[in-house]
Amino acid sequence: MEVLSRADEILLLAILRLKDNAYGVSIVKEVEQRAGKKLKLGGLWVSLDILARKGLVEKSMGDPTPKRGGRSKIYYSLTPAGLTALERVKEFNRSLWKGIGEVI
Amino acid sequence: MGNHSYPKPPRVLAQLFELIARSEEQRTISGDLNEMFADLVEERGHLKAFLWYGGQVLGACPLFLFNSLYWRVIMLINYLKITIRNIRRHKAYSFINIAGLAIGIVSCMLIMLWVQDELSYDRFHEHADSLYVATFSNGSTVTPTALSGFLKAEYPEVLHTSRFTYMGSNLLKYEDTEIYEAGGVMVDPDFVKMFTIPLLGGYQETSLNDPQSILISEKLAHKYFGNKDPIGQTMTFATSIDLKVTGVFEDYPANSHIRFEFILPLALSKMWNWNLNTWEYNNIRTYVQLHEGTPVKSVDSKISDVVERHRPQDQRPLSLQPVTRLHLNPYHGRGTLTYIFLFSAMAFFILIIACINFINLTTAKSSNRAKEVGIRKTVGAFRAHLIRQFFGESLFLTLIASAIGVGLSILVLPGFNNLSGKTFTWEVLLQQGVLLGIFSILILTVLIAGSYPALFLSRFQPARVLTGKLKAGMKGGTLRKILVVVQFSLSVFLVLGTVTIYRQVHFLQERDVGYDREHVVIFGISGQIIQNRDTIKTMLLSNPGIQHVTLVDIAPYRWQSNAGVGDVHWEGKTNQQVKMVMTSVDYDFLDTFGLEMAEGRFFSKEYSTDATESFVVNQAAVKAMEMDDPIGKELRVWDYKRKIIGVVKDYHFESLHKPIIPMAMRIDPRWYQQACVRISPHRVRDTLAFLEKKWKEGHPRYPFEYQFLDDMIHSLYRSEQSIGTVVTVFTVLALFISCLGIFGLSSYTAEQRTKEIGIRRVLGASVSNVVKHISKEFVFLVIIANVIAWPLAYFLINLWLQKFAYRIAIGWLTFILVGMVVLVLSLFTISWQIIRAATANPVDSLRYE
Repeated sequence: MEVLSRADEILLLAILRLKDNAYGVSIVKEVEQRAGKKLKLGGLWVSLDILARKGLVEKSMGDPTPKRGGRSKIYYSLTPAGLTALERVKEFNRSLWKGIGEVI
Repeated sequence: MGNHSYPKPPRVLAQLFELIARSEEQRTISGDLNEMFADLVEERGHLKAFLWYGGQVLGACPLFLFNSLYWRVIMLINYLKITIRNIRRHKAYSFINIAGLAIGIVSCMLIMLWVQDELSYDRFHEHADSLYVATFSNGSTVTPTALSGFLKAEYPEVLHTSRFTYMGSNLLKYEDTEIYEAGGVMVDPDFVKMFTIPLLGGYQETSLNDPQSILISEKLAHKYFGNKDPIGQTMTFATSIDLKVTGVFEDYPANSHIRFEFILPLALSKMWNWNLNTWEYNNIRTYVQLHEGTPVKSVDSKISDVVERHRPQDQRPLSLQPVTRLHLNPYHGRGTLTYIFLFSAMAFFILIIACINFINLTTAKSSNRAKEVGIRKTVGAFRAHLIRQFFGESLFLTLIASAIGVGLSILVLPGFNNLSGKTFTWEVLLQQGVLLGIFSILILTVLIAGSYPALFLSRFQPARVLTGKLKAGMKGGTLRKILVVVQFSLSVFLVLGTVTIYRQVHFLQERDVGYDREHVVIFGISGQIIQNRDTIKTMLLSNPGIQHVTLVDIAPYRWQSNAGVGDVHWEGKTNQQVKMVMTSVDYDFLDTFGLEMAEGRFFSKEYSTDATESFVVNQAAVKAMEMDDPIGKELRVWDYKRKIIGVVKDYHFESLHKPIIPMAMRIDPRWYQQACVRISPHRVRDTLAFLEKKWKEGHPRYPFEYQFLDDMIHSLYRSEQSIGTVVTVFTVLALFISCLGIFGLSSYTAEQRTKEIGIRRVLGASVSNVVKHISKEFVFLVIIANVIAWPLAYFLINLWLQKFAYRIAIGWLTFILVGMVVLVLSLFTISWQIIRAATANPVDSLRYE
């Protein structure tokens, strides 16, 4: 089983942290705040679409609001497979860093 | 939610985003964009927000594209799978489709190669775009010798000029090798700067400055010098003139309007007292190189009356014709634009015919696909998807056909070379232009062949197809009929054209040329023969197999009047403009060629003045000069001023493309180049052996090279002949593809009407009744096709025939015969399938459900 890329890891963590409020705008803001990366909304959608296709993320349609020009939101949430993937990444990072913290 | 209005992003950008967002889901992103845009406006103002929005939209484009490609690949695999399944399920149809397209593509490619080669003439010159030849308004490129120097001196736009003339066969000698060489030309020194003639040795710019120099081709260098270095060696030209080899050039490419094996400086011609600076008559070609980028129009307007200024009687405007266009100039070149057009049209027709097969068979079989279309639409396919799918299918089939086509082309290339007289190797298929051509044929095929099926099939309504209400396949009936008519019109048209070309070429070859062309042997002669001509003649005539011997400058068949005509003056001339060619003959000329006199007498040794003071002219000359009593009248052609002693009956001294023009004959041994020997029909072989023996005695070192006059006459029409063959082959292919098409259609019809045929048979119809009934509609289509093709063919055939001075009449019998043949052929093709269906046991055909 492959390990998540760093970009995917960041996205999944953001979705996990945002819980029920994970949609385009909130994810972009979260990522910018935590990781200092400015995402493009279009790019974000493509990345999330691929994650959804891999079965790590689930999409659900929200309600349209006037501020959004009458467009619905798409809410993202982690699937069990997404959670497992995050855990694996965490384990992976830990094993990579094992013993190194004392040196630096 | 209230009436609170949020800031809206710029409209144009928002619409752009809508445009690139292809799915509903992607469009929700614009909601996200709007939301953030509103926040940004509050936080950082309009401008920042605006820029951010623009960046977001533009950034999304490539990403969305990538995303949709991902999905397309998956669909593509599905489409491909269905395509392959369809090909395998309907093997016969697929074969007809692919074979037809492949043959169409092969034809198209070969023709394209030919056309491209024809158009490539003289493109290889480095200065091709600034090289011109001075041309009179009637297309003649024969100009005064003084023109070249005048243009160079008077017009600053002109960079270089050079005169150019062919020399006929001449002896060229080095040590023991002495051979007649036909490929000699004479030019001014600047010629090698203007034309790209890569020299292997010697210094290019000055290589022709010495009048006694010669440039030879690699081939000649090898022939005369073997492995020795030819540079600086001395060769003997025309038995007495010593020339120093100052350069060897790479063998000159075949795709040029000029051909030569060796080049001599024009200055050498002072040996023969040529007047190289006169406006008096036209006898040389003038090439001009303009400075790069000079508009030729501006020069044309200045030089148009140059000749007239110096010689008021010649009022034809002069202009500069691009060298690259000379090959296709019918007045001058071997190729013609007509054939380029003819062949291109043919390639296009064949492709169309093959595409029509594809369209007809696909739409005919569409009932098989209707259900698939219905289901695809039901599960969410839009029409655009289906159009894409069917286009893809056409593309796939065309690709297969192209691959087969390219393979076939390589296989048949040697045969095609044979037919067309070209020398293509398979590598030409890799040239950029050719690849581009193949690619465009492919796209064209897909567009023509794929568009109708794609639009037609994708239109099916799922509800109707799936409930079986729509009898798909019957719908395109009218269109199919029209297309079959188009196909057969084209085929009939091509067949008619081919038959006409054949008849015309045959007519030209067999036409009475006005002299007896059988059993005349022609060979080049040396100065030695000319000097001893009387003793040699007597010696030859002692052989019973030899009837007549004569010497001429140019034998009748190979005259080219555009190589030089002179102005004529005569007693009693008023205002007529008469151009005349002049030939130098011997006393036996009349008897050798079996010519007849119309008036007066031919040259005779009994009159000592004949050799210096007499002309014999042809009837055309008398007519042009409007003379009532030509005998005894004085005539001046070029510098020759003599009296007319006789009028010879007109004969064709040129190819039959040209009418007979005025000609004057004189006795002038200095110009003799060839011997013509009439031999007895019964002793051809013995006599040839005798001639060869005598030749060897006189010229032990050179081979005896001879030709028969009738062979040479046939070769005059070789271009028509080879084009006739090429056209025939492609016409047969076109007809074959058309038949393949109706074969497919008729077998489909037979299959569709199995039940009907069965019932008819049960009710007592005979096999022939059934066949008649079903083939009736096809026959009707073929007849309509004939009716459409005939007038069109008549018009174009007539147009083509106009280029011949002597031509066949277009007989209606040909049209009717061709129509019948095509009809019988198509009937035969159709019956094949229908007879099979009709002779099947009706019990089986009625039980098939």
